[in-house]
Amino acid sequence: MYLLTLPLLAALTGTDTTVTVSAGGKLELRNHEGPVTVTVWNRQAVRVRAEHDDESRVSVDVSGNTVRVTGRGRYGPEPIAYELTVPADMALEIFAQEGEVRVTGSRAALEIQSIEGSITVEGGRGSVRLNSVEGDLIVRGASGRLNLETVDGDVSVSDLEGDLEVTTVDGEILLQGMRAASVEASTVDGDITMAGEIKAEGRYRLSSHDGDVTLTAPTIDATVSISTFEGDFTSDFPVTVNTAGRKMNFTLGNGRARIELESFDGEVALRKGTGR
Amino acid sequence: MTHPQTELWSDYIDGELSPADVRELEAHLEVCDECRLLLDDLRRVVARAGTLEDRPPRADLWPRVSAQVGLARRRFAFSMPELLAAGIALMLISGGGVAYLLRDRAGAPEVSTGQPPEPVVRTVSTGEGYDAAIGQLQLELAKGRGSLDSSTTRVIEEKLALIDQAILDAERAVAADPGSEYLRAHLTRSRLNKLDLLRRATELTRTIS
Repeated sequence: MYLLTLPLLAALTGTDTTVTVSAGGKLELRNHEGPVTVTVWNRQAVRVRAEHDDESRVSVDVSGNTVRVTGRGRYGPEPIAYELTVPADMALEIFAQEGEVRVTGSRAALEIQSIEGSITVEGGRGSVRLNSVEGDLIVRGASGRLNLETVDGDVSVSDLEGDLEVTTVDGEILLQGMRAASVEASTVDGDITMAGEIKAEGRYRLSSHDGDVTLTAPTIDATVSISTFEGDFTSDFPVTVNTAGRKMNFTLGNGRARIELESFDGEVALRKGTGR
Repeated sequence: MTHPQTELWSDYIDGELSPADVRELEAHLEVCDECRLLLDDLRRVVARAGTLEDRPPRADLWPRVSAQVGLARRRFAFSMPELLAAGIALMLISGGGVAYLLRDRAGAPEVSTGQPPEPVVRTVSTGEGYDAAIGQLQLELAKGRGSLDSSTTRVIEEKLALIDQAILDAERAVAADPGSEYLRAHLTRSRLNKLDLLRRATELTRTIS
């Protein structure tokens, strides 16, 4: 293992440096304030471009196959806008206190946290974990295991191949083009809408306290459980309902998958279609 | 319907049961929504423990909180690091908020019979351990609040209030319909949401500072 440190004194125009990396490495970035944009290229190298004032400094440290990027102002944290270019298979671990994070084209594991700012990911493979306090989460075309958490924000996932666990406190959850074997989605205040395939042996659990829950699929072969306190249930699929208290159970097809839809104070609906 | 002892589900998750026991439990799962929910919750606890491995909770907080809610009295097969890392969910499970899940359920009446299980209202609506855990986390959050900016603090407080309202809604619903399996589970999850948000907020104060 070797250690290479490149402390770069910023010019007025900011920082622009490129370091060589080995395959399958990881990039770690911690930013106090400012947007972070990550794109990919075919080179085994990381390019770091950053805009900041002339008294701030950006450091790019390479240790083994990990690249660590940090920035600091002369008297403490200062706003820095990052544009990074990385190999597509490079795992990313990003913490952005205040600012949007956008990742495009990744084919690697991602762990991204933002306190105040949205996170947008196109791609991502393996473990994809996004976490925000005050910001929307948007994921397109990921494959693997997604874990998404926000407190005050909407969540949108499209074209996922894999498993999904998503929670928000105050926000809507929109899941489109899903090819997931396992989905668990919950919100306290917001609608949940999911459209996509229901896989045999798949498990799907959508739960909202105060919002409508809608599942749209072209066909459903599942054991279905619907629960609501003050809402109604409607279905495009012909169902024979077995009622037990506030829970309705029925089987569609051979009941191979398991679906649970819950809304304490909202409508629950099963729709036939693709949702597109 | 007679439900398996809760400890068996813990052993099931840990893969410590005989094939015959596994077959028996899985046959029960096919017909019992309540046990499936319990198993899902336990699995979530384990999964969450895994995600927190590299960011363990502060050493002096969780043992105190878990002691307050009586973790030691529960016989789960999870390792202590998992218990501590997964503290929030387990605190809830251990704290009485979901005591109905952990009560000796042998011979517990089936929900659909319309016979509300006697202890449910009491256990769901009280839960000293749950309150203690909430109080401890709120105290911890108050100490670290200075590291959060005012906007973040405001958002967290607003969302805690939102969850409190959801808990209140669920408590009223359970009071009106104590036999409803769904409502009891919903109350449980609403309470879990509050603990989870407090946990995330306190973790955040440590991440920033």
